[in-house]
Amino acid sequence: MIDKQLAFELFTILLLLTLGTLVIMAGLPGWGLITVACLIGGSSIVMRTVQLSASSV
Amino acid sequence: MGLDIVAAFFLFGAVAQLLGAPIKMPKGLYQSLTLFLLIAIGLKGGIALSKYASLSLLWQSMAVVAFGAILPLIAFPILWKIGGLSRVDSASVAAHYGSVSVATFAVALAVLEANDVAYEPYFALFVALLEVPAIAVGLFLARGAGVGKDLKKLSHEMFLNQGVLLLIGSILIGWLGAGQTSKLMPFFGTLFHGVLALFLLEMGRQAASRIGLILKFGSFIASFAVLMPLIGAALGAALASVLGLSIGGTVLLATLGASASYIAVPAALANALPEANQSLSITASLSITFPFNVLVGIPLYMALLSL
Repeated sequence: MIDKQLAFELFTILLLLTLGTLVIMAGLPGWGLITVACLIGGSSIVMRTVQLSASSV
Repeated sequence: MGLDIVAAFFLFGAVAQLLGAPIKMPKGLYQSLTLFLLIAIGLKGGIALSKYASLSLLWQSMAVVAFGAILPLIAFPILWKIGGLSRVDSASVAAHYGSVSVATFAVALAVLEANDVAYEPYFALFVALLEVPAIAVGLFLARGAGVGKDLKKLSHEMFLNQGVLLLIGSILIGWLGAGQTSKLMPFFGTLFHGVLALFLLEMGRQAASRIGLILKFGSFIASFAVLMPLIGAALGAALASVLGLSIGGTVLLATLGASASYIAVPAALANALPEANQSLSITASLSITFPFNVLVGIPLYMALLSL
């Protein structure tokens, strides 16, 4: 079964990365979007790792 | 465009908190700054309203109210069906994202004024109008037809909460007393940016102090709190285009669409929807959406819409 939350997070990260890249290519301030995408991706990985290790104990 | 000097105070307050050296402000001062900002925005809007009141403004106001009712209807299924939150929590968070943040609006105003971008000066009216419909829609989503039972109490919370009351009262005073504004505006006009900087210093501290709660609520809510502002901003910009607003007005409506309430809606829902997890909504709107809009969103909307 598809993990809807994970799919939503991946969609958000990809959208932010795409928008950020397009905005930078247009010479506008897009680094904020890319930074936020990285923060969400990082937090998603960390929180899932913590949950997995907690459930395996 | 670099970081706005007023918004930099938000970052300052957040960094100080994260470094374990919080810059604490007396609670009374924070409340006073909030009162000042609401009155200043309302007065300014009211003065403008005395010059621009027209039938087209009525049409624009109706469209803005509909916009405020649609946003929670978009947020709710994402939170409920995808996020797996309970119906009540989904409705509560959706109501927060359908309503607006006066502080975010104030930052957008400051950025527009710093960059000499013209905007429709009666926008304070839209801020007041956007505070209300999302609360009603959120309650309807949570309770369905059962919401009618507490209608009197709910109406009181919706229309007479301090934020809405101060905004509407100041708009009316500004509108009716437009000829005498020289008595008040040196205070409420000149000091606006300085007061906003102080207010943001405290907001930065409050937002950073809740970062631990984001870990508790999970990364889905963090994703939602970033994606929903982008959806709201896109719809706000589209509506502004339909209404024929100026570039500044488009930036402001995009910002209002992107912002989420953390003062008026929590106050209203604390009584009307006590079973909802208020901490979840406030953490998302204050610790993620507000900083996102101030540091990333508003400069981006400005740059994109000024193209």
